Amino acid sequence: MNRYIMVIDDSPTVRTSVEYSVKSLGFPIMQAENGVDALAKIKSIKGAGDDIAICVCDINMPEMDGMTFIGEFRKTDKFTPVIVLTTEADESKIQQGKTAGFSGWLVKPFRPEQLISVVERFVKK
Amino acid sequence: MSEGGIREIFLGEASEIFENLESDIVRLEEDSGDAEIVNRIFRSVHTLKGSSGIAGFDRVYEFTHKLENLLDDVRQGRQAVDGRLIDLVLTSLDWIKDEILTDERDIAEADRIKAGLLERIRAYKGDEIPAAAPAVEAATPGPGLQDEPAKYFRVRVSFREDIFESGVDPLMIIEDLLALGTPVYKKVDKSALPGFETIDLEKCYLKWDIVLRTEHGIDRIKDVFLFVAGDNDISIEDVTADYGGSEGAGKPLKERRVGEILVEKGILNPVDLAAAIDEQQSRHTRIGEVIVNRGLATMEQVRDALKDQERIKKRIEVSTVRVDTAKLDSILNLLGEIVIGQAALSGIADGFGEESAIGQRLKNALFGLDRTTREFQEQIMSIRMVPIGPTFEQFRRFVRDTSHALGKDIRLVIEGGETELDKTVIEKIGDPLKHMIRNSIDHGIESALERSMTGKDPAGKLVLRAYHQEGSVYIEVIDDGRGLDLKKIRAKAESMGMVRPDEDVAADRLYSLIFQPGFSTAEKVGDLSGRGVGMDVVRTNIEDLRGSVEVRSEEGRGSVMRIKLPLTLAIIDGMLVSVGRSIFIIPLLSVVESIQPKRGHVKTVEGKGEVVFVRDEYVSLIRLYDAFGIEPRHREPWDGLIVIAESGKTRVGLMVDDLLGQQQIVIKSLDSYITESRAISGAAILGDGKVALIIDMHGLLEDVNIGEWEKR
Amino acid sequence: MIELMENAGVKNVRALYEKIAGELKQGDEILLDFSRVARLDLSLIQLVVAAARYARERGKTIRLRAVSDRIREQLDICGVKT
Repeated sequence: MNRYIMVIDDSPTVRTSVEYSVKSLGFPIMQAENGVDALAKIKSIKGAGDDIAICVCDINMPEMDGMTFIGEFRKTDKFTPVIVLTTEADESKIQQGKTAGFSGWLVKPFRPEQLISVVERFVKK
Repeated sequence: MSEGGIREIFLGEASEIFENLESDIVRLEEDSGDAEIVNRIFRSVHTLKGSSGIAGFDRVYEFTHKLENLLDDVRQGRQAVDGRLIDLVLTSLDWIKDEILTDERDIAEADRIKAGLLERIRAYKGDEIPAAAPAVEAATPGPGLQDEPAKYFRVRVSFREDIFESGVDPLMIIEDLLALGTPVYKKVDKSALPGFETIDLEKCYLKWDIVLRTEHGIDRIKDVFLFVAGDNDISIEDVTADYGGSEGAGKPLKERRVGEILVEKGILNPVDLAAAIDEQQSRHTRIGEVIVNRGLATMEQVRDALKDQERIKKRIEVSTVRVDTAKLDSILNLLGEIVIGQAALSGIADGFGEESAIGQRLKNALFGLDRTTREFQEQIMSIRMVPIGPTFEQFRRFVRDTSHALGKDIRLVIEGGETELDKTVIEKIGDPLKHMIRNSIDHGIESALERSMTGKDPAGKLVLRAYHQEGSVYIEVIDDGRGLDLKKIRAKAESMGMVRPDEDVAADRLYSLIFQPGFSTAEKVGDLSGRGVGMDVVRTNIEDLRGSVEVRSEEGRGSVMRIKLPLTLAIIDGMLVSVGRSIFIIPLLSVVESIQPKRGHVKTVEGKGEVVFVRDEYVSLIRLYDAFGIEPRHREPWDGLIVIAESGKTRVGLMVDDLLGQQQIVIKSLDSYITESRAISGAAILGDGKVALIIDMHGLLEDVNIGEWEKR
Repeated sequence: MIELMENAGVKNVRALYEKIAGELKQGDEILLDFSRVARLDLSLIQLVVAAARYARERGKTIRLRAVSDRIREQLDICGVKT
């Protein structure tokens, strides 16, 4: 069974940089442009008998934003960690995200090693 | 993974964003009321900001951050859309494009334009709140910084039940916390865990109470809980003061100063030394010179002290042998396997019966082998043994500083520093010892004034002593202070409901109460000790090492706190007993004898429960099958056997089905059996592969509420 | 013997529970094999503790096999002696 790292961000720059950073952790990586895209891809991953190890997700996205995504995602998956990438260092926003079901967050821009250490916390083997 | 790759992707992304932005802005100009367009513009700038930061375009990042703020105001309806605004956004966009796409830019010119634009944005925004720093400075000093003084934090964690549903494993967080230091106290509350049949597997039931010794600050501790703070019950408390500041345990034997050696020899007094050190430091000269110049000691005495110092230094060097502990542990594990194999062979030999010649020869050979393995074991154990001296020595400074802080004059005497203990024990004994020492300094030894008024030597004496006796190691902390105040202890015990006012209680039992949780007779909160973590932590720490602690005291004369520890943690001699289909091991050190009681010798006594009459006295009877919830072969004591065993001063009878013999037991086994019962200290694999549980007498007595202290 | 899967955790703890419950009905001794797991999450440890209590009350045993130092430490963190 494969366990994927799901990278959800509308910016290809962010997606690619996340992919480059977490590649070393040894998980297959799947990119999605927004919440709708992500949900569809997650569905097909799970349909193939595979699983999601962790989602790394932007907040501000067209089509479906991060907050809506996490709400939808948690309807079918309670336990997979979801890390939110945000430019907000704002406490109340972060609190809101936690209530919605996010597991952790990282403030953009971040250095690759910061991202790796956060993701590693949640998927460490 | 080249950064160049990211830059290229960003350039592509940026061009796309610029196209969208420009067309959106033009459309906004046509229809300034279209909220959706405003939103799209905001999002584009927001994305541009995030991507530029990640791609390393810091100047663009900072600039777009400002622009984004302005657009956010527009989006929220705090700014109206007008020609001026649209012009500003477009000009800003031009600047960003130039910044990203033009290779050779006139930086000064670019800066000038940027300053102008920022000025215009600021004019719109009114009072601008400074932007957050672009990159979070996450660098936290690693544990490698040896000079950071150790701090102690008490961390109590109670997660909300459904924490798993936010993708967080609570254990991961506790692991992260423990990675920051060494726990000196840890208690896991499992009382909320439901039974197997009713448990909701996706909920969190465990709670933790941990005192962590760490070189990190409180912020780093808080960071661990960053993702879960707020909606979980987490308290972090700095208890460094309770643990006597940063000095002491865990640090290697320090080289001794000449002045300290002179004080120890009684040549110099500490006050003169302090003055001499002051002078030495202000004049940047040698301490010996100052001491001789001041007439505090002769040249000869200083020279001798220098020689002593050299000797100590050498001893430190000699005593530092590099041993790979992992290798040592694996040898010990292998030895454990050999012992198990040997036991299996013994079983086979027994199977041949008394008359068999082969059986006899096998037994003789095994007897020889047994002697060799024992010696082998002793040799390995001796490698693990290290003298306690260095641990004692490190308290010199601590005693000096602590007593001075309290205005007391205390001399520390060390005896038996050469006594050897298992290295694991040494590593863990520092903290409890320090606690006890501080307790003596704080509560035991009186001020110089008080002492002279009662005819005592104004200088108090504190003795740290270690010695071997009957297969155990004893460590004593002795002070010549005022002793424990029995009246105060009694009053406290009554107020806590531990003792009835009309009850006759022996002094010994009252003394032992100071090791109970929540028991502190300290009058002032400002005292060094007696707050939050008390002597009960000391007891828990020592019991974790399979040891025990007791205190004796004489009012006005002083106290002795005595720690008893096993020589080794890895191998014990045990008596094997059976209860039903289970096998238990009672440490041989605790076993007094075994008896088969008569029916009339077992009875129930009001307030004491079931007792058995042995050698003119009644001892409490514990039916092991009851204590461990096992189906036994015999239900009545007179059908089975009773092993008389003791823990501390308490003697009890343990009812078992049968005795199976005595055997060396290797506690650390490759296979594991798990238990949370305090009555079980570990498990061992027997020769035939069966698992036997090792009974912890102290824990067992506590579990069944028998002993020096009885719960009500 | 029950072998824990490589990715054992809260997502699949129910399946493990069913296996343990089934074996506890049939036999007196259960062996849990940890050779394929690198770390446990709290849900697994809570399950093991609850199962061990349940087994002990019925005179049965649960033994752990191939417990790595890492897992031993994790159990210790949760107040479980091994």
